[in-house]
Amino acid sequence: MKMKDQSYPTINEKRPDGLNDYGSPYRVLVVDDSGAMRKIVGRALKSEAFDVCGEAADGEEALEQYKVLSPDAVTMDINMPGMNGIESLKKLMAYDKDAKVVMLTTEGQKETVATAINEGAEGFVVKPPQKEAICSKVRKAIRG
Amino acid sequence: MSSSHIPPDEASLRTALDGAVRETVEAFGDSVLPVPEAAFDEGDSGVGETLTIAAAGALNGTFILRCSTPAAAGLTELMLGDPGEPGSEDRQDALGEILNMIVGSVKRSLSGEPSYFSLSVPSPAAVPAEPLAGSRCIYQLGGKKAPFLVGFLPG
Repeated sequence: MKMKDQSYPTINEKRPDGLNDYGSPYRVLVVDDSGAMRKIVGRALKSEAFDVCGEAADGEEALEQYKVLSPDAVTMDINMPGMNGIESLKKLMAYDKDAKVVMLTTEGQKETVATAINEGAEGFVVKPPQKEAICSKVRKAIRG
Repeated sequence: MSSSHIPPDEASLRTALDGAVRETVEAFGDSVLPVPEAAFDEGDSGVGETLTIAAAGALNGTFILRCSTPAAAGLTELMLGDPGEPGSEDRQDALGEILNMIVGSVKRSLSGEPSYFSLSVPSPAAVPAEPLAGSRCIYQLGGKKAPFLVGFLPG
């Protein structure tokens, strides 16, 4: 009997969340007024092979970066000074109705989450963001 | 917000604060131990960093995180993998986000309805001259003898 070639990946081997069907990384824009939180979210995404193609510290910067980078998805903090995450989400969706946005919140209030979903967010993650949660939510947002 | 909503009593707030601190630190893979009041001498040079978040609504006042210098380094390292420099923007940012997550957790556990109270973004504050009156819990990170205080000052 012919032996199986063990150098080939098995069919059950998990592909990292951050890769598409062709093995290319999904590109994500990370928006949070806290540099520390951007670092944590970015680190989590990179661990699953996502490409953090840009970062923004507020809503205005997020929209500018989005127009330039055309990322596959955006992670957006809700509680930001100036233009908050919900207002930023509205502007982003007005610019691109197909934008894939995952909201991050410390509060997880039903009212806020419902508002975000109504405005077009694909999902939300409560802070502190767990690596598995944020990666799977972003992948789900992109792939539907 | 309902004007008839009653603010939490001292015991409920302390319980919520305690649970929130534990949940937040454990999410980053460490644990906290409660320490006696005497271990945290406020108002002297032992307090390295103070961060605040204002609450408005049914709960009015200020949430406060006060850290001894080594606790500030420990909490920053827990979050970022690097202790940062005392008083640096990175350290204050990391500590502010830790307080933000703690206060968010408090809000989730206390809220009986949406918009029960609103919260400001975190901001650094001057090192206090007086001890914090109001609800307060004092901890140390894991086995390290570096105390930090999380509290709420009504106002």
